[in-house]
Amino acid sequence: MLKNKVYIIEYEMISPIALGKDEFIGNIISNKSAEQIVDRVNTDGFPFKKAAEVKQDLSYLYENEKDVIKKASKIDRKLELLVAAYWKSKKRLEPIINLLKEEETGTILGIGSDALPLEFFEEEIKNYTLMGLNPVPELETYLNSNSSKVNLVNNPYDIHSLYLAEKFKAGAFQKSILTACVSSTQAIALGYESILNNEAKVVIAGGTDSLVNLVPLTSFGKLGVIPETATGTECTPFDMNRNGTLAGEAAGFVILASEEFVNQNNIQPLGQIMGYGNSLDGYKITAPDPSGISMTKAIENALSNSGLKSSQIDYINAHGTGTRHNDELELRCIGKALGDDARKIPISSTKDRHGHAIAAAGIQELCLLLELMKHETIPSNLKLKSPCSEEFNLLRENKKKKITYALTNNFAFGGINTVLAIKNERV
Amino acid sequence: MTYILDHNSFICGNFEDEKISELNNISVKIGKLSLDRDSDFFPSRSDQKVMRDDVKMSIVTAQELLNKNNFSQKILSNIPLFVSNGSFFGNFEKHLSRVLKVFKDASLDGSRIEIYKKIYRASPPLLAIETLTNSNMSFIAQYTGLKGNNATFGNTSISTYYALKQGLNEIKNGGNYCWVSSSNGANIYSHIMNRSTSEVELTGFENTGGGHIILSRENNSDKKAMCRISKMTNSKKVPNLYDKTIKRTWIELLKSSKSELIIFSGAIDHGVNDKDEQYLKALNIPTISIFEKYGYLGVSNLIFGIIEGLKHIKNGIKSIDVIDRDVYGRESLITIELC
Repeated sequence: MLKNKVYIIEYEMISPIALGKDEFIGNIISNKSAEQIVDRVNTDGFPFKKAAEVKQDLSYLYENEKDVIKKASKIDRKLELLVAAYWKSKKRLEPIINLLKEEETGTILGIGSDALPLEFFEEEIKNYTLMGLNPVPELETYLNSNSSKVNLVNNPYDIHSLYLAEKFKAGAFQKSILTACVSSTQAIALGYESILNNEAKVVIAGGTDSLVNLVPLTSFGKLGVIPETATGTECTPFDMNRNGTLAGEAAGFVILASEEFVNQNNIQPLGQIMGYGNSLDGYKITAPDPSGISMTKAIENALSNSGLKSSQIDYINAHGTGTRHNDELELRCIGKALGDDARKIPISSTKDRHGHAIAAAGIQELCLLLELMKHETIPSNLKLKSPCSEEFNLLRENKKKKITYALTNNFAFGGINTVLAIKNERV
Repeated sequence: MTYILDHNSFICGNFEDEKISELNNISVKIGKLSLDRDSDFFPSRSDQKVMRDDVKMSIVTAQELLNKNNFSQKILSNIPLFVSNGSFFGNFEKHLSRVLKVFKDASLDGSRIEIYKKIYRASPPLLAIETLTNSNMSFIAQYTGLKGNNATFGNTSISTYYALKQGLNEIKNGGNYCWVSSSNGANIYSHIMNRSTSEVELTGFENTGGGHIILSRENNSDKKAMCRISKMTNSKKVPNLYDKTIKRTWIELLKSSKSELIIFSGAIDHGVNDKDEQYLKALNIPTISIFEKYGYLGVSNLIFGIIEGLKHIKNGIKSIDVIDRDVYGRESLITIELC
């Protein structure tokens, strides 16, 4: 039986290399990397100094937003990035928003872990502590005393999907997916499924996250996944000498729509979600299963659920974090899942350009992929010098090539593997 | 048709007063979990180090449930797992006590490099894992062998409705089984997160608890189901983020109901719970409040509502509506029936 189609009809993104989707391609072609000294957190005493952060002030984008959202956005970076992504695209999306029906529209977002930005409140924390008080609850109670349901810090995670739901009049559901580095990839996959299961006709799916905050940045640094600046090592996915990832931040969304909605409203789709694969390692919280059985299964399932053959895949946007654990294993699993074709398909990770946005990694890389499809460009592994494997087509230079079908991989801490199969509908 | 094959759960009955704010004189009763450390299923010492207490008990009860239900390794590795989770910080002060001490001791006019060097040194090395949002799901997979489709939803009570709905979709689309879990850790931070969404000053109690439900496509003599899920629906309106007033519209979800009992949850406070009860009286159907029995269970409200319902199904009640309202006012309904 032929299954219904789920199309991507719009998308928007705030990324360290693109303040809006239209900025992506120029920065990819010119090989821009957002890896720079961090501004928002004082890293003077840290062994690493660099991250990929959105450097521009975003507040001008949402100056017409409600005061409480503006205030919360100044503290909660995840909210700010998402609010900025919405306002960046607001005018362009209005004709689509006018077509939406409340009970047939849902939102689903992948969200990163909460972290009170302690660095903003040094003085308050010090004062509360000197008064013998428990500083964080006192501070949060003080900050959150307002008449709306929007807290200034420590909101329930659904605040993000509810924020977009209000903008898109999305009443069918407002879900949050909390699966670390695959959060937004799963949000897109489950958004696709909810359309196939008739829970909605249109779903706004994506995610938001920021590692550029004192607590997550130090936490990831202590885990040893951010390379030390003194060693001169940068984030170099698939390189023999890779030593860690590039902490990042991003927010974005795609608008997914049923075939019926697209046809009824005479919309030209931009892409199609062909299917996905999603599996658990069930191995160890701190490391992926070295056998790669479940990772391979996720890639195989993305293909089989899409009805695609490996020979049809034109490009793989890899998870490629630049960490010791991920990259070689990912290549091995691609090899197992795609057989001989895996050696021919161009593979690259773009995390050395825009950083690892954790819960927003999937949406950032999907939005980028849609732009690559539009501009018939495959990006190189920008900083690759000594490939960890010679068996694969790890691109060293950007390439002009038509992309009809592509895979985009994401894998999470705790052993979660999610792979999307995407079709270019602009062909 | 989707059946509930089996379930298991954990909850605490021991409540302690927790001071939220000295300055604002706010305290709340929080359920403190007793850990079953003698259980054969208690997680390994190395894993315990990075687990919240609710996750530890979730792992114990997941393995107990698995032990009762014999699945081959091959079946297990394909069973989907959908999880809902509440707060992810077990104890912010414990995690960050050394960092907070740096702030206290630091002269804010002093060298920034020195302060941030100290902060970096004081940061706990495993914090990213301790607060991992998919910790419960990943540990369930590790200890049970479930490796199929998956997601962790969070972190208000409607998340469990979404997790169950995803499970029903898996069964509808040809799956034989699906595992749905919830885990709610009540603590100061979950309370602060919830309290400013409330229309009243909260005086109630929050509890830690969680559970697991195995959904099945079939009900046969080999694997006899406990009930079937005959209906799932939710309010399809966009919640108003800027108005704290509770608007009860459960009756719209219940309008074609033929159930003999309603089990409800949603209140974090006795006064709100009383108003919920009053509102449901109009239906002339007996009601049971999960809040009254256990306190506010967040993402575990619906799991405990279903488990409560199963007791009454066992006693002969044919149809039960389990309803919930999350902190943003989103309402959901799950109807379970004798099978």
